[in-house]
Amino acid sequence: MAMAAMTLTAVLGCKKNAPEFPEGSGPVAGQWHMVSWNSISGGQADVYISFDEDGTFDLYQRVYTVYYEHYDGTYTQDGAQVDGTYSDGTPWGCSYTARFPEDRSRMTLTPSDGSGDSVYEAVQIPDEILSGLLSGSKAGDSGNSGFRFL
Amino acid sequence: MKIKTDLFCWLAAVPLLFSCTENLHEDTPDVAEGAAAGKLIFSPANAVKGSLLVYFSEDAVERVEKSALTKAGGVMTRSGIDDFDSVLENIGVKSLSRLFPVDVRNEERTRKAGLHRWYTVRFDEGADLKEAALAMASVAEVSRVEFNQKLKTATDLKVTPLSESGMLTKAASGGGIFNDPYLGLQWNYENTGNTEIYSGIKAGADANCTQAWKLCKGDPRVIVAVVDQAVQYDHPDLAANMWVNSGEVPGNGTDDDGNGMADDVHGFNFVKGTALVPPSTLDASHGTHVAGTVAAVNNNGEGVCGIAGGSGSGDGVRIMSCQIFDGEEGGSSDITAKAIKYAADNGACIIQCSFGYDPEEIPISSDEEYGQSASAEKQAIDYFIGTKNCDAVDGGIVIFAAGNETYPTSAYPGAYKDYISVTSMSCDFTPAYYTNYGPGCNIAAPGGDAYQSYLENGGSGSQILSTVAGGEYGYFQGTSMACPHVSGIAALGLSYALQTGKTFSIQEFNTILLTSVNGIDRYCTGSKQYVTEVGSLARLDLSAYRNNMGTGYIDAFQVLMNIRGTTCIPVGIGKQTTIDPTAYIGDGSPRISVSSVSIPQEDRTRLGITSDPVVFGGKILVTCTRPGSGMMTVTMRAGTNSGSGMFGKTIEKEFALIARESHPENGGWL
Repeated sequence: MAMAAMTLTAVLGCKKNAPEFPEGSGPVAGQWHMVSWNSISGGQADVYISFDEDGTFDLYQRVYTVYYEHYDGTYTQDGAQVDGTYSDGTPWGCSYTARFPEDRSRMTLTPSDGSGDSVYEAVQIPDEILSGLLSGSKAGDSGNSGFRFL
Repeated sequence: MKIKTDLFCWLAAVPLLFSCTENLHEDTPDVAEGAAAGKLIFSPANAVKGSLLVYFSEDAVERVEKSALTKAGGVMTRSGIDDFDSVLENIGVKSLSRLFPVDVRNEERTRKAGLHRWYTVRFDEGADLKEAALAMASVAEVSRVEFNQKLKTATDLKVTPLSESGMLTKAASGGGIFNDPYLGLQWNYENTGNTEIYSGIKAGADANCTQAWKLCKGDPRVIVAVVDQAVQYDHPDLAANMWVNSGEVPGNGTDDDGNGMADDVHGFNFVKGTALVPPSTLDASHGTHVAGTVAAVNNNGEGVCGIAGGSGSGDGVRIMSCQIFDGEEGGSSDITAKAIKYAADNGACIIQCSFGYDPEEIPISSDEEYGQSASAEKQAIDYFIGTKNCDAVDGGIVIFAAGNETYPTSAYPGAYKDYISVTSMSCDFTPAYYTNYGPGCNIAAPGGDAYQSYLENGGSGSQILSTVAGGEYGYFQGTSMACPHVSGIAALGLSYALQTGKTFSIQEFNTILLTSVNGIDRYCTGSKQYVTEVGSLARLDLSAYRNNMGTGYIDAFQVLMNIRGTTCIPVGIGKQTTIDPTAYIGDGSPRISVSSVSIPQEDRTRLGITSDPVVFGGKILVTCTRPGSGMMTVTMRAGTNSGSGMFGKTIEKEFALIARESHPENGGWL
């Protein structure tokens, strides 16, 4: 029994240090730039993701707005499957299966909702994206702040 | 020379003369007069006396050109067409000359566009204009006769020097991006809500330049023609950004580059037909002020900033000065047409036009009326639009001021559907008291409102500060001042497109300009104080401006971001999705109405769209049955439709549809 417990501890310990991934998969940690999803090009939807090893992520996207938006939150990876939740509590739209070529130059995320693979390239996210230079609406013009008393 | 002013005498003679020509007319004098009247463009009211523009038929112009060849030097006073020459003799002709001088480099294009067929006839000012025009139009070889209309600047020309403006010289602001000392007074670029200017000022009522400048500051490959008074090209805050015609030797009195103009180093004086002379008096500051808004040199430790004025390293866009006003002279159709064609032939890709017809004096009421006139000026603008001078766009961009008559339509030419007409916004988002509004107006921009600061503190800070003649700085207000904001932002956008390798059609680029806006209608409520022409205080009902100021007020940063890429719209799968495209344009509240929608068959197949998308209640209904993406083109009307022929500007904007089962509610991609 003691022997079995020691073995289990060793296995778990080993698993914690070097998680096992199915062939073709691996940790998603790193910085990624979406290069294709369906017929979408970078000129239409531009998405950068930074998965940190501590289980947090930062998402920079110019998709539904003219500006770049920043989202963050946490993610978990179980084998090839990745799930996450935004910091506002909104869960990701679905879970994803991550696959990589041997050199990890690319990452393919296959969504569970069947909406098609998205392919990401390993990149260093540009400063102009990280800095917020390309994000946000103009100052002083939010909501009703500009209304005048009659 | 005897000058005949009796129309009947001419018309009686004309049928006889026509009997010798192929185009035999057997009309009675009344019918003939009616036919001749149908060839007239505009009316004699507000036209230059002693001058008419004549458009010869294709065949006839060859004879006119041969006649010119036989004239060895001197002034040409005969056309070689007998009937026409009879008319010339009767009106005391002084000269007959080609309206658009021969530019050897562009003559082939000029002829292809038919511009070589326009001639200017100068004659005794005592001759009756209408009768002279009808007589010319009665000649078979004449296709059209245009009254040489006077245009006017879209401002009251009252400049207030900075030194007399009551404004203290502020330290530079703008996020510290430039070191120009007066940038802090240019609320029109970044309005921080400085109540020293006006207590009601609102932060954000600006063109959002500072954020844009972090991405792009200009590019010397972009040339903006300022069609206006002369620009003071040696102004210390403009000189480095002036266009230089490298083919011309300054001051030698010779047309070195063969473009038809001698000594046109930074542009040309089309009023006098001479080289530019930098204006030195304040009342000749309009063109210099406009130029400064487009491209005063940035970060030079001097004066003000310009929207596309560069970083101080010689990288601003370039200003070409096309002078059409000179003191009390100029501003006529012929001069304007020549200036605009020159801009096209010499490299400009944007014409900045802070002038127009007075809508009360020249009441053009529809695009059809303006378009059918086929005036020399319109043909010149068409020629400009059809000329590619910038790698980022396949033609010319045309931007006009809407006019300052508080008139409920834009002035023409700006109102025309192919051009952009700019209304004026104050420093608190409200419409400026003088701005024209309504049908034909396309977009708003800061133009200032003098009375906001004047009535409160006697100052001028609520107007627009820029460069003025004499190497100085001063305040102006007007749609003339709003217009160069759009021109400058267009220039900045093209600079950014060049730097990012993007290319656009004219239609696409105009759409970017008109959809990069923040809503202004929510500020069109209540009233504001102003001073009437007779000097009494009055209040202006702002509700009249709601839905009438164009799509919204322009946002430079949005323009650059729209140049970067297309906006996507999320749609569900297996159920009808209702899309409000305006929610994805600008700040989500532009004044834009949807006309139609189309999705290419290939994209329909990919998305499993089996029925046509429809427009219903201003929204688009579409049903996708498969996940994927596809492009959707939405045709929209930017600005207000008069219902009587002033249709605003039709634009087409592409969106990418993203069809997925699961769209997170917060809009995140994952």
